[in-house]
Amino acid sequence: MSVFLYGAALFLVLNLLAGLLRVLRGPSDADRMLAAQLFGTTGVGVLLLLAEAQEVAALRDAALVFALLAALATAGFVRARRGEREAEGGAEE
Amino acid sequence: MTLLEIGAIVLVTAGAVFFLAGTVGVLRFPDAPTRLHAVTKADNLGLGLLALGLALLADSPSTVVKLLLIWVIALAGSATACQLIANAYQREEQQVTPDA
Amino acid sequence: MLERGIDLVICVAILALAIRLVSGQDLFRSIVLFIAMGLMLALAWVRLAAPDIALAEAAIGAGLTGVLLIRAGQGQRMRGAVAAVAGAVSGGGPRRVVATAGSVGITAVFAVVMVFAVMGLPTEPNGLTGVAAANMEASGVDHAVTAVLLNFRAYDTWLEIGVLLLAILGVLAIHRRYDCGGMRVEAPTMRVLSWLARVILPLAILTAGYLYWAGTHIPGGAFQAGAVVAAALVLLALAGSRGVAALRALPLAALLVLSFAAFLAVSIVASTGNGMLHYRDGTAGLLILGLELTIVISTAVTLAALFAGAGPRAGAGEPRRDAATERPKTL
Repeated sequence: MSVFLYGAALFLVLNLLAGLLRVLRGPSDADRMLAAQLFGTTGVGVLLLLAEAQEVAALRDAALVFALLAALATAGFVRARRGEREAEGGAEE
Repeated sequence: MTLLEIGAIVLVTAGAVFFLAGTVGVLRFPDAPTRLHAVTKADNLGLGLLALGLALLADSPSTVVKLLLIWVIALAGSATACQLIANAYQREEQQVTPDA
Repeated sequence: MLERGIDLVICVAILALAIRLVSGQDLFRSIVLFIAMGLMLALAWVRLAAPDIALAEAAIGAGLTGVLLIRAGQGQRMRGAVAAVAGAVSGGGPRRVVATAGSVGITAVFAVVMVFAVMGLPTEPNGLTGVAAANMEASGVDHAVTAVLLNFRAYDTWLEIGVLLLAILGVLAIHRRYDCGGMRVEAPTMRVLSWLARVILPLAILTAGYLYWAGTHIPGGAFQAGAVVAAALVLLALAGSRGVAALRALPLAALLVLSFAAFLAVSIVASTGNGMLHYRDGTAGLLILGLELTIVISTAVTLAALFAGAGPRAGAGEPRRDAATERPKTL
């Protein structure tokens, strides 16, 4: 069973690295940010698989923390862009 | 191999297929909104199937609950992030920023 | 076999990410690559059978650092500093050659030192592992990592808290603010974000409480718990929650030094004559729980204040606006 779980984890890690291409290519920052979202979800998956394969229950806690904070960077990104627009005097509301 | 283990393998494999679909979508789709659609829908479905599959292997009910909780939290987070990114992208498009 | 494959992929990915993120010209791209590297580092710690550090890396590396860097990057963009830096690098000439050669040289020296250090590592567990295992009974906790951090080597932990304290004092000194005012209430961005903040906050506090308590017998601990609370505070601030305004009333300085002061107090009052932080018999468990609680609070407030400090200082309608633009910060 653990061979299958490690295989699945490796597959997800490779998926994650393929997602890096989107960060490199962009073109917009929104594209880069959504790639980060892909890392978040995939990372949770890898941690859950490794928790089962390595029989370390604490890794599920790491996955939990990861899932909790996954949207934090995105929220920061949106807030930062809005702050910049307002500073430029282009407040549209 | 027990029936539960076979079920877990089927579910985790199905989950992995959805993760692959999400990644292909993020790489191949033409613009940010369609890519968002790929990452948010496919990956979260993949994570759900994976969590369900692992729940079959769990040794205690509390682990099952934790796995499902993790999935629900991930859903809430990435649904929100999807909205935020789409919104930011839309505004960027409207403004036609030179660096885009 | 497959396990080796995962290890190899993680190692290569970390190296490749590190190179890409320092060599790139696009600041935002480097920030996202850094978030990805945080995730890969967390996975590396998982593979090294160090779930405690993987937990910390998940909370800090992948969660808080990303949002801190994005905020710092925003400040830089708004001051036009990025363009200036990019120009200096691309049109550097001889200065650039010197800078590149210097950094490559320093990196090479460190790499050689690291190789020797790793080769010099004992292959067998050395004497201290046995000593630690033999004294677990008296340590007051059941988890070896916590026993080392808060009992056997509590002195180290105390100094690490001191490092965090120095870092935030530096930020506060640059910003010249000594209250929680940096945590200003922003206009609500989007209702969906406020909704997420309201969902995450109770879950984050619950998770932090769990990690704090779990640290005494399984992987977890006070630093991780503090980081989770800090992340929830940052999310609240980003969502423009009015609850953040209440934070301004908190005695920031007192909360920042709380943990350092608690260690000092314990080392003076509750230690035996055998040395600093040498707990009296039977008091270790309680003292460790108390000290860990102060670590949770101080870490949470410190990290949240770092976030507040990383932002653009020229807030709307703040009197400090002119002073801030006159004295550009060189980072």
